[in-house]
Amino acid sequence: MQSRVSSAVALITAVGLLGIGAGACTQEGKGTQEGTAANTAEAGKPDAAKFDPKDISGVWTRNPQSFNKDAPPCPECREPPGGYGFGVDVPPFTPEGQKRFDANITGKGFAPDSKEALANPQLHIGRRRGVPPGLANDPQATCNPDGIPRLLLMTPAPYEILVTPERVFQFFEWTWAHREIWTDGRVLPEQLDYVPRWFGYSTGKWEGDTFVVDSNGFDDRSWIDIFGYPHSDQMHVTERYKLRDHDTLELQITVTDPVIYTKPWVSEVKVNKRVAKADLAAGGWSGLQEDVCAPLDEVEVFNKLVRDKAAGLGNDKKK
Amino acid sequence: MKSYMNIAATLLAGALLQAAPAMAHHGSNISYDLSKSYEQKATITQFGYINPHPIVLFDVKNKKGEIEHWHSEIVTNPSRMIRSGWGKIRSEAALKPGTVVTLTLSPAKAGGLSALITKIVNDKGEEIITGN
Repeated sequence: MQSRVSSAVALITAVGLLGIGAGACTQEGKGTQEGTAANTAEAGKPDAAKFDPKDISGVWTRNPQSFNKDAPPCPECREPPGGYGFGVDVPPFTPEGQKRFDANITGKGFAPDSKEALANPQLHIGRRRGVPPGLANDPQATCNPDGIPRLLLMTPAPYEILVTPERVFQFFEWTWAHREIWTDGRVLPEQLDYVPRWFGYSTGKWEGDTFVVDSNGFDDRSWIDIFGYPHSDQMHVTERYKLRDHDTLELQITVTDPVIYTKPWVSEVKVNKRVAKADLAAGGWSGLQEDVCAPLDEVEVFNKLVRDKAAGLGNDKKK
Repeated sequence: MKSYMNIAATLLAGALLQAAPAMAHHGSNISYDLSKSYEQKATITQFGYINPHPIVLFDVKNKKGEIEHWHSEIVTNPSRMIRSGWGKIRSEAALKPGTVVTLTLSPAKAGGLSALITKIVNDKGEEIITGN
C-alpha cells in the first residue's frame, strides 16, 4: 500500500512537471515571433508600448536566475528535451550531409543506450548519439572557434549586443569572442577572395521592428550546434531578432545549405532575457566574464587531467 | 497501473531533461553516472580554478587502507562560481592542498579513479564552492 501511495505521489509530481515542461515546449517549439508578441500584448502590461523596439543593446541570457536568484523563472528560455541546440526539426540530409553528420562525433546529448534516449525515440538521432567527450571530435574541445550559429546557442553563457552607427557588435562571454554585423548598406561578398570565416561575413538591416542579419562565407569546419550538425562553406544564415518587450529578446535562425540539407532549417525561437548591470557584478567587477577557451587550460590541463580520464583513457583503476 | 508507471517514468525523465541545460556543456551527463551519487571524505592534493571547469585532484583512503589518487571536475564553472561569491582567492583558500572535505561524487561510467563533484562540504559542515 505504501508503495502505491509513493507511486501516486510520483505520478502527480510528474504530471505537474509535465505541465511546466509542455508549456515551455509549446512556446519554444511551435511559437512564432508574431504569435508570442501578440500574447504578451494581451497580457496588458501598462508600459509595454513605451519601450523602444530597436533598443537591442544590452546583455542577454537564457538563464536569468544565474544572475539574479529572485528573477522570475523563464521556462520558455529553455530548450525542448535534449539540451541547447539549433532545433529539433531537422530537415533530411543530402548524401553529402549524411556523410559529414556521421563523421562528427559529439560529447553532448544522450548516450544511445541511455534511458533518456530510449524514452525519447522521437528525438532526432543527433541528440541520441552522444559519447563521453574524451572520445568525441568536437572542434571546440581543443578551443577552435564555435563560429555562427553555434555561438549564439552556447547558453546559458550571456552575450552582449552593442549598436553603433555602422555596425552592430556581439560580444560573447563563452570563449570571449566577438562578431561584427555591418549596417552601412553593403551587400555580402558574392565570391570569397580570402580565407573562409568561422563567424562568416554579416550584414544587418531593420525590417519593421525586426533586426535581420544575413551571413555567408563560412568555414565549414565549425558545427551548427553542440550536437555536431554539419554545414558547408555554402551555408547562408539568417537571424531575426525581435524585442517582445524591453527585457525579452527573441531570436529565430534559418540555415540554408543545399550541400548538406534538402531544405532550409528553421530553429525554434530562442528567448533571451536582459541582464541588468547590477546583476552582472561578480567579484567586484560588473560585466561579462573572460570565459576564454585557452588551450593551456582546456587542452593541457582539463582534457588531460579530467576529461580523458572520465572517458576511461589512461586512468588509474581501483585497487 | 504498470502503464501509468511507465508514463510516470517517462515524464520524470522529461523533467530531468528540463534540468539538463543547467549542466555543464562539456557533456558531464555522458561521462559520469548521475544516477549514482555518494559522499566521500577526501584530502585535496590539487585544485585548479580554470575553464572550462575547475579540476580537483584528491586522495582517498580505501578499505584496504591504501591511498587512491582521484581526478575530478566540479560541475559548475568559474563564471558562475564568481557570480555566487566564489572567486579565485576564496575558492583556492577553501581547497588548499591538504584540506579535508566531504565530496558528493558521481563516478565516471568508464570506471577507475575519476568522478564528477556535485557538492563540497568543509569540516565545519558548510557547503562551499557553489555556482548555479
